[in-house]
Amino acid sequence: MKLFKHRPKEGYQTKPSIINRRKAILTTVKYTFFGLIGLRLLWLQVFQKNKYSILSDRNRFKEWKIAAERGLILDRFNNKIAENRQLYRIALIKGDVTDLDFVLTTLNKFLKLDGHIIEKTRTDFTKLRKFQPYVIGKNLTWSEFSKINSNLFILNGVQPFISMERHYNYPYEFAHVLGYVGAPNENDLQNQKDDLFRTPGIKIGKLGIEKILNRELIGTPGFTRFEVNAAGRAVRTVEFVDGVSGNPLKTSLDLELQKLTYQKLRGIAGSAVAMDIKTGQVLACVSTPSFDTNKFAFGIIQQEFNELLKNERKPLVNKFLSGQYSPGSVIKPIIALSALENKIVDQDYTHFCGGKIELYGQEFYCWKDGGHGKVNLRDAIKKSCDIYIYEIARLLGVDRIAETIRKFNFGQLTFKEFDEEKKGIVPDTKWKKDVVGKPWLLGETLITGIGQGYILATPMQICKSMAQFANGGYEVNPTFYLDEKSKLTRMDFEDENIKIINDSLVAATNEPGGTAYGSRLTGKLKFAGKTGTSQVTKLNIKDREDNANPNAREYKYRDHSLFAGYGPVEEPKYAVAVVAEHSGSGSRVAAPIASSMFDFLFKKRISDA
Amino acid sequence: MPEVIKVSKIFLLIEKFQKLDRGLIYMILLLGFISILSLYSIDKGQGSIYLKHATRFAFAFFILLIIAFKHVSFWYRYAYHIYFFILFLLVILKFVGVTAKGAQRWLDFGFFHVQPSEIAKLAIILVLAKFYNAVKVENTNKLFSLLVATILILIPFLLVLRQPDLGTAVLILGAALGTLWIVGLDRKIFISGFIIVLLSLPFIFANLKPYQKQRVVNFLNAERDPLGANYQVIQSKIGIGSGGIFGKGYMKGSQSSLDFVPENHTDFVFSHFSEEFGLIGSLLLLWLFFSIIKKITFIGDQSKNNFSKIFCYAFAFNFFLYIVINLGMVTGILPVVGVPLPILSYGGTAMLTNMIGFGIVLSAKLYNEDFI
Repeated sequence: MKLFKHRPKEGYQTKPSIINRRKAILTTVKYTFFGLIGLRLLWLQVFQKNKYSILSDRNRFKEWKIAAERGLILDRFNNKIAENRQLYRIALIKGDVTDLDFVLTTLNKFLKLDGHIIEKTRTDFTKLRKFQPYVIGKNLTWSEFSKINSNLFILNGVQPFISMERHYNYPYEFAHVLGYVGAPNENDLQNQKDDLFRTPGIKIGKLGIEKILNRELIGTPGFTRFEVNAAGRAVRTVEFVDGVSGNPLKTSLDLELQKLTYQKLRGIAGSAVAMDIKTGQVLACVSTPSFDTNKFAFGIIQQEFNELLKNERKPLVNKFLSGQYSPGSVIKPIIALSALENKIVDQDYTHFCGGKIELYGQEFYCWKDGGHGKVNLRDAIKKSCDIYIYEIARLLGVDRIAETIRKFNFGQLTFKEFDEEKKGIVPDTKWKKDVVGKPWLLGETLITGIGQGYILATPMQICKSMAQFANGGYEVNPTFYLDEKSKLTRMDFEDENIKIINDSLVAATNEPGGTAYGSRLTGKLKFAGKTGTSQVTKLNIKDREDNANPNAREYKYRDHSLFAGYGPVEEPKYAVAVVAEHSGSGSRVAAPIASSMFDFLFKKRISDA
Repeated sequence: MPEVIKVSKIFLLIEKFQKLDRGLIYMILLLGFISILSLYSIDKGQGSIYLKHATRFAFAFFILLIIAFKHVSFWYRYAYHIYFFILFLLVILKFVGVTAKGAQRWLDFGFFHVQPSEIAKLAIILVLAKFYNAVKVENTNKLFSLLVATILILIPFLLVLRQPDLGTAVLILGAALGTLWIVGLDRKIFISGFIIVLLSLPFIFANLKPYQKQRVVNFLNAERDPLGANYQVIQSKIGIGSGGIFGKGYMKGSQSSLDFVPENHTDFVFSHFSEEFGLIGSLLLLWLFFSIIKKITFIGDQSKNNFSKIFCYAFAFNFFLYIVINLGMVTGILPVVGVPLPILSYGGTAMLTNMIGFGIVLSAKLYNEDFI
């Protein structure tokens, strides 16, 4: 009962005094907690303000990038070879589209969409995030575009828009050198440091110059900054920044010459290159058959692409950079130069050509049945005598031949930027041992001398070598850009020897009996050059008899037709190389094409200028 | 002499008006004004929530004035009636209540949704104030009075907890404990009660609803799941933090008006206010709240009767609890328990309850010379 007993001490306390004391304690508690809240606010709003401001803006704003207009590509006379065109397109906005099936069937009514486009849209659309736009893979005509625009009220979430897209004015002519653009794929995206390629609707260079100078051409994307709500829907546009279109690119190419060259190579699988011998600027480079690069911009249909891939004339291969050919007789001037440089022979050295010789237990033929008789070095180049070259090649040995050929940069890349470029092969004893794993045979030296066997070269390399003869023995580095000029470095050759070879090259084209005499130009300005006929397979006796009619053989076994030359003779300016695959002799196909290119250059670019 | 009586009545009314605590009234009006401005800003001037809120505020203020002139003894006399009426409402809520967000909290009176649990907070203060006014000092800590008080507290507490509405239940308990503290309940009882609660915490946690457990877990692991249940608090902190010292400016807050902060009209209204008016605005608002509390306490001091004193102190403590729990939750130092910010948060019953409370306080001031 003690527990319930009244404690006298408390008896003196009146109720209000207890209440007052308790209240005072409570007041202290209140001060404390209000103080804590105040400190918390101070912490959040002063010390952590920056952190939360960034988070708030990240919540608030979303940027939608807009790809800038791609830079124009011009030829050396400012003709547009690649530009941009307005395209009418439509996008579907995820989240705004209430009924995808209805939208697609309605669009189909107006646009007659292909089945595969509808399927692709359906599958891609489901992967999108909310309020992300999806661009339908079809370009609309103006009438289709206006039809969609006037029916927008039934098409929820459909957004028509005008975009600037790459257009190639000469898609076939420039296909391999310019390349083409396309939407970036996963591979392209992975190798990027920044998110430029993630700009919606952006196209990137996939091949050629478009790929090499992609960063310069692509420009800086513009953007629209939206304020978005928590659901991600744009509430209002805060800011619109125009993109900076890519810089126009002035190439060294000559549109007229390119067109002409393409014209001449039509129907042939082959390539031709023309360049300025002093600046190294490439004026024309054509590879045939070609393809329509405009079709690639929006993703070519798989079936069409497969056809291009399967075509035995290889339209997708850039033949002037990645076509590797036995150079054939086109290499002979370099063999002759090697002999002169190594002082094996001088220009007066003569050798008898009887049409064939037997060496190392093997028969080696000259292209001309019955032979050329007594030939000196000049005649050997002019008439392309194989027996003479066999002899000097035998005397030189393959390693000295290879050394001279390498000085012309065969066996290495001419450009570094083109992924598809091939190096070619300059064989010697070491190479054969390393690569083939067998010792060098002496007979192989002879056929290397006439540009057959292991030796392989690209048309660009051949053209470059001819330019280096034409400019008097200076190394020149080809370029595709008008603002670049090659540095000319003296090659390690005697001036006199270069002159001797050049003289024989002039003879080969302009003197009766020269292999390219039939293609000579009769005007004031003339060109010099060497034909080449490179065998694809070893010839048997019967083939040799059929030689007069190369078309008798199956296409893929026919000879390649080559020509490399320069002009004008008096004051050289241009070098040209032509390779026509499986077309027969050099004089019959390649030389006339080169001739018409020179003709154009002399008349339009020298006489008229 | 009927005219004399009439005149004297008018004089009496004027006298009453003069005696009315205008400071408190101005502060309440200022709070109402801030709340309407905030709600207007949250909806960027669109929608009608701010208008509805303004109407409710006006209505509640009218009730406040009526109550202020009513003699405080009215509440003393009917405290038990009110208490049992509220218990009755809480019980029938089980059967006719409107279910929202998984809880039955509202009674639908057609034009008006009433949340009896809100009024229960006031009722428990009234009933305890009356009860302890009658209990002699020496009996305060007696088992009998303790038992009665416990029963008076536990019935509404458990009824609300079962709705389920943890936030309001906690506030009812808080208001009741505050009242017990004020009337002078022995500290030992508080301490032993606290120890008992602490020991039974695991048991309480086991009996929580899944979403309540989630909230406690979320609170303990602050930023674990930014887009999940903790989203509210993180977004609210972003809103407050990004406001900085001076705020983004009126109508320029983006967090709430772009719907990043859920419940932005109700429990998280402070987040928006603080985003727009910054630390300075927030501290001023805090100061306003504190001034109101001080004013109520002061009115309690001036009262000659214990009922008024107990009521004023308890109501001030209840008001304080609302603010601290709400702000603690909005600034991320307390778990989210769904406690509105008095007057500022959109919500009819809470507003009405608070205004009735203010009315009684004003009445206590008006009749502070009287004994009950």
